[in-house]
Amino acid sequence: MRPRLMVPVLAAIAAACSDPMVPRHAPVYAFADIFGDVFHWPADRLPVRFYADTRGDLHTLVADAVSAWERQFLYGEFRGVLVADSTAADVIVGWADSVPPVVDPDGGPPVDACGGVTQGILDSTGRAFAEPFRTRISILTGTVYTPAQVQACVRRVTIHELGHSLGVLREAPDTQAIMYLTPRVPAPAAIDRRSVEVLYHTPATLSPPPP
Amino acid sequence: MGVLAAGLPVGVVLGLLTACPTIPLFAQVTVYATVGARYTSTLVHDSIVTPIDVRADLAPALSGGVNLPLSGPWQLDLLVDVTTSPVRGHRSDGTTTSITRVWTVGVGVGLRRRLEPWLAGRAAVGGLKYLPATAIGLFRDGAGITPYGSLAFDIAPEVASRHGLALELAGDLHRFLTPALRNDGFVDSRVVYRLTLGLRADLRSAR
Repeated sequence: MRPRLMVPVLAAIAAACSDPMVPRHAPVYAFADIFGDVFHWPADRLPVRFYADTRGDLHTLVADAVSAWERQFLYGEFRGVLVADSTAADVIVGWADSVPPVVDPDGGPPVDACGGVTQGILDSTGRAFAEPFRTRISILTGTVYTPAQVQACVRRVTIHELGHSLGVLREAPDTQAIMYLTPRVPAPAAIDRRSVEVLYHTPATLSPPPP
Repeated sequence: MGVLAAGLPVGVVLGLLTACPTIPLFAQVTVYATVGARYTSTLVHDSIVTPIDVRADLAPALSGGVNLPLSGPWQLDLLVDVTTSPVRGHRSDGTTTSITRVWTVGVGVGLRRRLEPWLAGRAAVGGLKYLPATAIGLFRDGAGITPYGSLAFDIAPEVASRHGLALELAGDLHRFLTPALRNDGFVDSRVVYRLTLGLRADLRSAR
């Protein structure tokens, strides 16, 4: 077992091993806005800072949603953190009006007991966001849904709205996506993962708001 | 042949142990430790719009073990090896993203012998486990134990040898693939090599 024999053997082994096949990554649904503009958080702005209204369990809902999105990425493209000061946040999440009771979510079929909206305002150049994204989660009034059904709905909608703040600037057409207009699934699906994966490797045409 | 959890063939270990003419006396055992720096080749190469490579930073490496006498010039080497470093994604445009810190722990068994008065060589096989600090990214679903093979050479000029010191050059090979990568469409594992340059110290030499 002389070194002059071992080194070529090692080199031969290494040379014989070709690179494994790289899987094809293709977005499942479009993420650009209607004008074709693309936005995602750049690496030098990570972790993205989220502030959640302290009422109810929104803090937990946002933390879970951030975690759910982080898990979709293979290579650390997105990371988020909750901050206690809304003036130091990149995304501000609040209740639109009433605060739902904190109960265990219903495990039954999804119902539209809540809604949400995420707003990003562009500056005068139209090429950068002027201020933090603002997300509002609303409870639909006049409905007869149980608190557990409402809780399941706000979980889905919080993940969905945070998806918009990540850069998915339109709704997904697939009912199996969390980014579907009225989300039916409880978490980002494979089609969401494949789409945000490509989004975060696509050159952005819109810049984030000032830090 | 039974297989340990770490991927070590039980038969190999038993065979080596039974090759000992006698149970080695404690006085014949050498205990050693090695401290060094380790380079790890690319763990993952992918292309999402543009190419991206995942690599571990240059890392400190700490290993230790015992050498037990066998027949003739051979020694049985039982070793444990630990490394820790951040793992990052490197894009073709030069930007990097931090994924997580990863620890690797290897357990191995090998054969060692003196090749020259100033040179010793070792070949070993074992199991290697990646332990991410957080279950995220390509480690979100953990990582299994993978077998590895290694070669190491200890260079000890007489002056260093007198103090039980040696310069160690080591290299090992293993295959890398995680459940998250498999779930994302990777089929084949990638061959990863690690090169280590370290200082070996015999903490307790055979007499």
